[in-house]
Amino acid sequence: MNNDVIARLAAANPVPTDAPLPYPEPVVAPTRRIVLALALAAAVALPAAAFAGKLGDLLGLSNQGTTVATSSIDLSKDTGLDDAMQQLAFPSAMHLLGTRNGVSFYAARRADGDYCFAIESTVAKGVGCDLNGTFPSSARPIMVFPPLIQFAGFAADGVASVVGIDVSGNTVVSAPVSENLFASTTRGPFPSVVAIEALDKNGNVLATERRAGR
Amino acid sequence: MGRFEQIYEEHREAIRAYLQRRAPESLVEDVLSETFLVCWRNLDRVPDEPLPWLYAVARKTLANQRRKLAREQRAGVAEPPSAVVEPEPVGDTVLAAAFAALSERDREVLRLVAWEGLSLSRAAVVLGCSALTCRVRYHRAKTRLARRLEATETFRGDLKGAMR
Repeated sequence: MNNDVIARLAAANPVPTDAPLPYPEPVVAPTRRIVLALALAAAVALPAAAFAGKLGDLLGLSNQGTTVATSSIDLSKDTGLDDAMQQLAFPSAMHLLGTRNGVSFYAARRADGDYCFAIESTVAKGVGCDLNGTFPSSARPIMVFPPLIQFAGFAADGVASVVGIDVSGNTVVSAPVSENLFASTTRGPFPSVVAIEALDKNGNVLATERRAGR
Repeated sequence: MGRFEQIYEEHREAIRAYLQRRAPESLVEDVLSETFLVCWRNLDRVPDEPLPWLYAVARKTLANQRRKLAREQRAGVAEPPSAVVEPEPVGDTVLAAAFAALSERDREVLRLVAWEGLSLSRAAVVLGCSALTCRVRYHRAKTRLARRLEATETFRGDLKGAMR
């Protein structure tokens, strides 16, 4: 996995070299276990062209939220996330869309029209922006963010609940959608979940998002 | 050909690429010139293997340039903010976001290995630390990046189609 990461990073070199790169020296793994940061960053997909005016119109979400200063959000005090927010050119103000089961949800629009999201709780924090995305749409009415660390995210209008299902189709975790937001009362991870379904108020499946590799 | 000319001819493009990976084009030529000016002034101190040393000089020169720009921005005579934004990993949106969330120290050691193709002992020269410290930094940075990617890619769904 780790060496794959370096190969992937090498493939994303903004100025590739013609000559093959020498292979790095073998790495001696530290014996001390790495403490995993819960702060996450994710790229999320949103159609910038759809945004025009109010946040709700832009997102296809009715929830307008309330405006807050980005610097006032706790996750901006996380060094790694603050760096990410600066790199991603987060705007100085965001919309607090609400809090569900201890998870706070934020959305904002950058100067170039791209959209950014942030989520924070005691379990996980994350920031992410745009790019050429399809959320929200009939094909992708939900966005789990950050993915499965905590079962929480954003849902387009018309989605009444979101469920995570296992390989047999059984519900592993679920959460009702309220004002375009959802967060389960139970915390992840949920390793047996292979897909997430968006359901309407009658329990009909609007869309299914499969977990990569499952 | 003198030693400086040889170093310049052999390594100019590598240093230019190093800068292009980290800085906007508006800074590249100035920092490149400054880097080789430092090399010329300190030719007797340039090691037999010049490239890691040159990377280190370029790194410090770029940092100085950024500090200068930041001061100018605070004074209101500055370049627009976009002038100091680093190029990010390209073609992989998820990777770019995960990479951006790392600290600069983590990012730099990963860049040196993945983009400049340096061994860890050579990367240590650039970073001004011991080879052992560099190994530990590298391993930790790689793990942090892998964890962030793992979390963000648990569900890719349509995200895959959104990658540049």
